[in-house]
This record gives sequence, structure tokens and C-alpha cells, in this order.
Amino acid sequence: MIAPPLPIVTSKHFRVTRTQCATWARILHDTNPIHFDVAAVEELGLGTETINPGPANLAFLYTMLNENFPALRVIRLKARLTGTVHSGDELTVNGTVRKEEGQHPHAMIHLDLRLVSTRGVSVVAEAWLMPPEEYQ
Amino acid sequence: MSSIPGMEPLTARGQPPNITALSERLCGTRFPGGTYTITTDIHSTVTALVEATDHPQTVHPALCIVTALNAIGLPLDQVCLLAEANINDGPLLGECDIRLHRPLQVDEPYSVSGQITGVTRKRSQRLGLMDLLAFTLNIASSEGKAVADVGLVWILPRPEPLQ
Repeated sequence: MIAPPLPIVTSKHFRVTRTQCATWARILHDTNPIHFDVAAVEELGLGTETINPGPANLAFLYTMLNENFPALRVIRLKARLTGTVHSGDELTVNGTVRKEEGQHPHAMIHLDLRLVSTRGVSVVAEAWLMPPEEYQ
Repeated sequence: MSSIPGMEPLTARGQPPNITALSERLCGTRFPGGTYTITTDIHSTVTALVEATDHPQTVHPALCIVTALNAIGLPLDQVCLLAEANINDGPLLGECDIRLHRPLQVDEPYSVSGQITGVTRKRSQRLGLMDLLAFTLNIASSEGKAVADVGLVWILPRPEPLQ
């Protein structure tokens, strides 16, 4: 028996601004100056633009997953943040379904994810999604 | 470079802490913890930032991290100080493992508890000498039900040891 094809995941694109970096820092009560002070970033040798807080990069992954699988809930996100994302960067979140159990759109899904910026791969992640009735 | 008054970047001083002593001192240290409520304003702000649809009845999962970090009971600069690091040295989030057990709700108070689980030292080509500070944060509802477990590893840049 031939297995049904795995769902295709649509990539999502984002653009990061200085205002976004600073707003995230405020929401997280994160006083790390690299998120809002270009001079601090330059002094630390980390570039010439402010750096998006790591949790903000993870949030982009969640948005992409929610748009691709509105009937499912993300129950686990495991990620390595391999590169910094800076204001002015254009981002793409890509995903590939590794495994699907059950019948779409109510299947349990395990995906590989990547957040790629103009500087390279910024986040490598795995996500697990379940139907809400299984999850609550 | 902006800095918190009284806190100068540790990299200027040129000596990383003893990693063995630091690890022994910190592993198992519990955070004071606290409570956090996701307001409709915060939810709207976050969903706008990440270009998501703003439906307060289905809270964006990224609010899980916001909740956890806002209710550690210590601001992030104080968490860094626990590990003899300075927030002005540019710490970065390195890894996460977030498990959501039930959906978050707007206007519900959540309690957060957590502890430091490890401190290790490594060297990266991009960032040089660094310590990896790992901690877990557990979010619970007001009825005490587990809502989420958030594991984070923070990268703390360290100065090269003086010869």
C-alpha cells in the first residue's frame, strides 16, 4: 500500500525592524542593549543593526505553523538559535513534515523547521502538533 | 553604549569565573517565581509583531515564552548576575524546548516556578568563549494545572582568560 503524500508546508516571510526589536525587549523586560542600541551592537562586534530577541524569532515559527495547520495546536517546539537576526533582515520560515499520524486535517504532525535570514540559517527547530481535542 | 548604572561590561575586566565552582553553586538554584497575566493589549501587540491573526480566544503560543520570562521573579539582568555575567555583554538565547500542555488564555493569571539546571563552558568560532546557562520554567494555572514547561539555554559571552 502506498502511503498518502505528506502535507506541503507553505513558507512564510517576515521583515524585522528596529521598532520591533525594541518592542519585544520591552515586552520581555529585557534590558540587553543589543536589542535597542546600535552602538552597543557595534561595540560588542555583533554587527551594525539591533538584534531581534531570540523569543521573537521563535514567535515567527509559531505564526507559520498556525497558518499552515489552523486545525492543530503546537504542543512542542524544540529549537537551536544558530545565528542572530537583525533589524532590516528579511526572514523566511520553511518547514518539512517529517511524519504524520492519522487523517489530515486532524493528524498528529512532526515537522522540521528553519528560519533563514539574509545572513544565513538563524533557527533550526522541530515542532510537534496535535488536534485540540487530543491536546486539552 | 547604554548600560545599567553600576554595571560595567565584564569583558572589560578580562577574567571569566571558575566554571566548576559556578556550576556547583548554581545548579538546582530555584527562581523566586511569580505570576503573569496576558492582557488583551499585550496579546494584540505580540500578534501584530509576528503578523498573526489577533484572536484573544486562541492565544498565540509565543505568549508562553513571554509569560515564563516575565514571571521568573527576577529581571533578566539579575539572572545574568547570578551567573556572574553582565547583560551589557550581549547574552543571547541559544536553545529552547517548549512543551504546551493546554492553551493559554487572555486575562488568566499564571504562576511560574523554575530552576537553573546547568552551566557549561564552550567555545564557538563566531562568539568565542561562552557559558551556557540552562534553566527550566514551569507555568501553571491558578488551579495548579500544568500549562507549559519552558526549557531555555542562554549564551553568556565570556572574556578570554588572562595569560
